[in-house]
Amino acid sequence: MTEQVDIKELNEKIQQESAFVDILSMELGKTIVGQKHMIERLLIGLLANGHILLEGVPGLAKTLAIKSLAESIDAKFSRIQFTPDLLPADLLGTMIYSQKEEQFITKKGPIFANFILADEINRAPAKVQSALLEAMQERQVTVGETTYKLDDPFLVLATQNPIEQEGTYPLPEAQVDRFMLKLVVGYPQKNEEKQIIRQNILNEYPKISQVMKSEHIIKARSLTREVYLDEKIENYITDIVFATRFPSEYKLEKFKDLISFGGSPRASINLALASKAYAFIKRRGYVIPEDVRAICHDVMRHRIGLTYEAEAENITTEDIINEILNTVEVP
Amino acid sequence: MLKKISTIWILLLFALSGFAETHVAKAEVDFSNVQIGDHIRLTISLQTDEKNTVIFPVLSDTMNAKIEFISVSDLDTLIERRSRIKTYSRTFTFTIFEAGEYQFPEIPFGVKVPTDNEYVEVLTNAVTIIVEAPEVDLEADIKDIKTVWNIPITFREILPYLLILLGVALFTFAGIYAYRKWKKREPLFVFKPKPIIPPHVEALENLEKLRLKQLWQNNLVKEYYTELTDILRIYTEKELRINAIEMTSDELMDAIQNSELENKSELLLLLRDTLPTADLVKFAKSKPLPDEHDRCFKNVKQFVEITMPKIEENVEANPVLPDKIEEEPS
Repeated sequence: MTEQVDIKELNEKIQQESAFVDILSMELGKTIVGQKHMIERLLIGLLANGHILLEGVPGLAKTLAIKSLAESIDAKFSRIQFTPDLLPADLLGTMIYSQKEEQFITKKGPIFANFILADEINRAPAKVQSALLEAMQERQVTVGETTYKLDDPFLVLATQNPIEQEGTYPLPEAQVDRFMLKLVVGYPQKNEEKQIIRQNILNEYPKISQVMKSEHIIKARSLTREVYLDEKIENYITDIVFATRFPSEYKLEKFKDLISFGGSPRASINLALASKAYAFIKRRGYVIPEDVRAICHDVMRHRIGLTYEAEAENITTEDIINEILNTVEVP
Repeated sequence: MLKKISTIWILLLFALSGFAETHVAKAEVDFSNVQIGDHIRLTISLQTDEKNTVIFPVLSDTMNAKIEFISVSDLDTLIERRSRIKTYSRTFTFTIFEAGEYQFPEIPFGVKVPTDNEYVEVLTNAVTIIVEAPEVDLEADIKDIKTVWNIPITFREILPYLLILLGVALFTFAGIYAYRKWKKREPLFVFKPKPIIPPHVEALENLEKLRLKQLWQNNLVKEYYTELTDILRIYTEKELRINAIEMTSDELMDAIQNSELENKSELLLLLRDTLPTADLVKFAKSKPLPDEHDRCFKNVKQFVEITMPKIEENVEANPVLPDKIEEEPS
């Protein structure tokens, strides 16, 4: 009986604490027309403490969405435009000699912020990407001999352009795996596009107001971690991830030669965390299979390696995830 | 004067070294005294520099009318590392069936030194052998010829015959069987099809089994709802051809909503009253009241009854149908 009370209590607590989700979504909706999926996923990343990689053609409000999110929260925001001549020190900071103090002092880089927008991450060379991704993983940066802990919340939102691959440095699989979600941003609907035209013609750009503080985010995060994840859901998550690794064991023999590598344990962890965050957004204190399925594509799409055969047959990771979700039994 | 003497000595040494190139040919037998019919192994060999070309002798079958040739081994060669002397050898096997003294004559090898154009003949030594007849005791009684020995027959020897016998027996039996069937105008093989249990019968049977298990009465509420929803999903998949097993509750309700079923609104009401409750139990540790367990059970049963094919008369005649399902004990 006590267990039941716990879930009930948690549900009530989440009902109260998740009120900010609607406010934040409304605030972001002022500047971003449509793209509800993207806004929802940004909130999931925020709540699950996971970094997000956004992929989409130019002009789909990727940068604007991230900028608006940072503006709506009382948090420090940094935008770094990744270019081929960027150096790790430009990102992390460096030691400079102060003539006044007659000693070396640390000049912190733009990574020392709560929200980092790494724009066009694939335009910078591997050493800069590595520096950023290491900071993302460790949540700390070493400049000279001193290690600095990064601020909390610390969220990296990176964008990359799927076209114009010339002169880019594609992120290696091991580094892409560090992003909790990879969002594929699509074009807006017709009516949304009309609204965008009107807004631009009238030169009406609504101003984003600060609707929450970073402390709220930290509190909401701890509550998100408390969302109940039943063993049945754990089994469902592991089944999905294992189906990407050993498709033959899940009656998916046809994918045996199409998948070169499946999801890592980080995929299972992130699928569980993102499902909890999704349940939180939906004002629930427990995860249901719908949550896992809703978030599965965004968590898994960058974690499945395709073989040449798959590429030759025009099979995408989306197709594989769809088939896995349609084959793995729902608890 | 001294210079002249040295030159003569050097020339002499060179001349001697040219003559010193020796080729040793040899013939030997393993035994020089043998009995009539014994095998005689004659090995002939030649030792010469490895650079030299050698023609190995070919022994004629008719070397001697009384010496019978049996076999010859492959040519064997052996090189001594330091001296680079190569030995060619080959063993010939003969037999002789008449007592007496026999001689293998000198056998010629052909050897050509790289600096010469012609082959030099190198002879082996001659070999003498004595063939003896067995001693006969003339005073002893004359004995009869020994009979043929009886060697026991092994299973391996009779196995092929056994297999042939078995094959013939099987063939005969199959022939008789086929003939009888043909005479009676019956098919050769009759396969009894496995009785197909209609999905609704299976679902109702499983519901009855679930009721008898009394899971929620024993505080196994989660297991009860898991089995209940499994029965519902399996039935829906088999009967309504909706992939319910791989669908979430919402997806299943959407699928029913989008289907062309006659009573879909009624079915949706039943599902909306059952699936969310089941999800809460399965994933949120919820423990509904006993009334709700009973109601969900009835909902699933009603779902099956509404959607099952309306051919009760025929189905009732089916012996696999369960008896009437009793009401859930409260």
